[in-house]
Amino acid sequence: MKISEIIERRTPDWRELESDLSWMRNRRRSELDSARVAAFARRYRAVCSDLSLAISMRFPEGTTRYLHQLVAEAHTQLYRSESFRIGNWLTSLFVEVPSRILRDPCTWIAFFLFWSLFLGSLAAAALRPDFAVAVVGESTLSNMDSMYAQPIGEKAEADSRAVMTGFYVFNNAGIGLKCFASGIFLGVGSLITLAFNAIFLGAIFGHMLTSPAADNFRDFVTAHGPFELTAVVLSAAAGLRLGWAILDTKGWSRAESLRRTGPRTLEMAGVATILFLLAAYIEGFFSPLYIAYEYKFAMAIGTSLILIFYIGILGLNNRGRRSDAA
Amino acid sequence: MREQTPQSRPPLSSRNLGTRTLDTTTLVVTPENVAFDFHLAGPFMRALALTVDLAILIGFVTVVGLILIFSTGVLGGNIIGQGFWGIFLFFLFFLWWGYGGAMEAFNNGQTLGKKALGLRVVSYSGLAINASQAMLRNILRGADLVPPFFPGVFAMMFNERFQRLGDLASGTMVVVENRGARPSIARTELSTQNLEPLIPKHFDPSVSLIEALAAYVGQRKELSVGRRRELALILFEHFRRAWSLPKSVDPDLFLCALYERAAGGRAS
Repeated sequence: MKISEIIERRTPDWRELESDLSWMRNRRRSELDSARVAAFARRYRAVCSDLSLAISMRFPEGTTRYLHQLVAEAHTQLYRSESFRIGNWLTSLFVEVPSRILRDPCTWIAFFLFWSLFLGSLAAAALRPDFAVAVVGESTLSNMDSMYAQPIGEKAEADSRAVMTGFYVFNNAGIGLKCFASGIFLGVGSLITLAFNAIFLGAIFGHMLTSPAADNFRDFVTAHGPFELTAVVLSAAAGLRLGWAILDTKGWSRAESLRRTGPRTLEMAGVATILFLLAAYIEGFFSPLYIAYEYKFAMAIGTSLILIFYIGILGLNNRGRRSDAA
Repeated sequence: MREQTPQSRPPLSSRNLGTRTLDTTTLVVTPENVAFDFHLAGPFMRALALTVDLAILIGFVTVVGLILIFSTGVLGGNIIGQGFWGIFLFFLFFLWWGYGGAMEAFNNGQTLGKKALGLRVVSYSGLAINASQAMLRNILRGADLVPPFFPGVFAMMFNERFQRLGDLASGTMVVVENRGARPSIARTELSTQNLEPLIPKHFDPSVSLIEALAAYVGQRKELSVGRRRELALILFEHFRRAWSLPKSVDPDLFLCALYERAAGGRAS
């Protein structure tokens, strides 16, 4: 059969597939009529074989290019993004992710790096006042001093609490995600962000806890501390894991190793973001409350226990490791 | 032009699979066992799409911000409480970090900017991306756009699929869906029947000859009649001398007939 005859005969089917495509493009999966989708799939396969024929028989170039495009578009429509399943997501969040966090050396590298720098900086600032000035700067420190000069919470209203909560979400969780993203530079970006925050926060803590406003400062930071500091550590750990995948490829090519690790680090960064959101809520609504310190302390213990349960107890199962091996 | 024997022809499929790095296409093999080309989007088009997205985001945030300024009593008047600024910041966070990811996850790889420019994010396999890939590549955009080096631009130069770092980590690439410039289905609407007998029965064209004929037949409609004749004559002269054809034969039409025979003969 001549090429022109083949093209002539197949053109109506191609036009049909085109109209199927524009029909499918703007509809969600649930709105698609199954009979037409079946017809679409049949036409798509027919056009696939038309393309093979076009390549092997040397159809005119424009026609071959047209078929390439038609197949490409039908292909992306036929194999659309999988629907979002809340069940899978919960399994991953409560079964696989804690297990991976617990077993990932990056978690513990970030954890020990943060706490050693934080406590070291805290001790240095507490012993030598000029250390905090050198790290944080004079003006920030005097701002902090005046902020905590009054007992907290006396003038806080619901409105300003909501504003501050929104600010903590935008600022802190944003810093966490940036810290994670900069991990793609072989983990260096995450480590720098983590170290900077540890030293900076340590200096402020050391300064404030030795100042006259120590009680007011302690009243404010205790309740949200565990969630927020752990979120910082987890963000950096996720970034470190991402960067480490480029260095230690486990036999894959560097790009492939990065691609295989990417989604897992995203889950860790997701947990960190959830912790940032919870911490922001506590920081905005609970920490400024004018109540006895024991309640704040109880909140810190409670949130710490939640973290220990999540990473330490839920993480003990082997599901995460098994899915890593698969 | 020298006619090749059938044995010396390269295998038909090898042409598409060998050195492709110079081209802006990438080859994808479908489950139906057909290989097709994707046209990759270059840095310029992608920067344009990003600009459109940013303009939409900034426009939206500005409008909501203005509404809040007038309704929360920043300028006097107090319709709703100041607390709405907190909600505003809360949504700003999700909008900033989640807009691209959510759009690409729910809209089959297209943000509004990509849709406007006819771009789409797909996996290496050519399949649609999932939510996790969409989120990851959008969160990592921060790392791609670190000034002053813009590591993402460098990354795009050093791989075959124009991928930035976020694309590399999530296994995605951005392709062009060129719906606008749809090539017409080229065919010879003219009758080539009466020229058929002029072509010898043993005519056995080489692959490169068929390709040249296919390229000519595919593009002749876009050429003026004079230009067609000029181009066709180059090849026609060779055959006229070899097969001693009459001068009255139209070169353009003859090449169409030759193509019909050459390509059609291969299928049988």
